Amino acid sequence: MAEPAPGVELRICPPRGRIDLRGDPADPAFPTAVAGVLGFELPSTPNTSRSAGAATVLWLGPDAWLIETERAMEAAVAERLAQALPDLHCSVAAVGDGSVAFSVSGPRAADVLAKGMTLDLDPARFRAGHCARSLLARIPVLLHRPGDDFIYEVTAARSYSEYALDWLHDAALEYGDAAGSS
Amino acid sequence: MLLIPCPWCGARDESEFTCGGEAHIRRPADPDALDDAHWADYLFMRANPKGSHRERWCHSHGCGRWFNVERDTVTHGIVSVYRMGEPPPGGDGS
Ligand SMILES: [Zn+2]
Repeated sequence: MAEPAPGVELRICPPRGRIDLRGDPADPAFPTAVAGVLGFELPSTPNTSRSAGAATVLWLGPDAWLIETERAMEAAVAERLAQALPDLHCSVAAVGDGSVAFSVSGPRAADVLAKGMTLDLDPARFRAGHCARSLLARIPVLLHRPGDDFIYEVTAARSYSEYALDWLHDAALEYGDAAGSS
Repeated sequence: MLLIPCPWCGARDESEFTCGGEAHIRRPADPDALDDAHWADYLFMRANPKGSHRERWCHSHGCGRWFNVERDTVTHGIVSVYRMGEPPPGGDGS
């Protein structure tokens, strides 16, 4: 007899590049210089992301963004940003090694996350392109829903990643955690 | 548990926030001119009203921003929320 399709799949995402970017969006030179490097504008709407080409930018705060790239591109993109922002009051830091991303996907993905988060994960509220820093099972995480699918990315500090994965596996158990044996 | 409307992120659970105590406390313009009692008053003494209270809160596990909350200490009802540098909606916050 065929196994029922799992309600949730958990995966550890491959290592990716991450650049922590801070600057004053009110200084027109800053967003312009960043857009010149990335090829698109920084998202200014709170808790949203923007993606094009090889980069995804997540809004972290009114003057803070996280740029996600391929792992091999991190240093080069950080270097190009630093060169494009020489005299501005801003900061560019490559931080990819510091955290780990998990993919939580499937029709019950939001139910698993909701067990440990206070965010409103109603699919109509936490829509495609939404992101938020919050707490998952008491640890700080960055949650991102890249598209319309029920795929959520949870980014946690590397030092918390084992705990986070254990917690997610346990929370997903009742929905048929497809990665439970991995 | 409070549901606090961050000026940037919207309503979020209290567990994401840090309370920074009474808002609108001004550092004395000339600290050297103060005697110990007045300096202690600036450093340590805080209002403890029964009712409306203006407080600083930080969305520490969200956008990381400090802002002001006017909260009723009896009902926990949040009367208003305003950003740093903005005048309180009810006035008299300078
Ligand atoms: Zn916020």
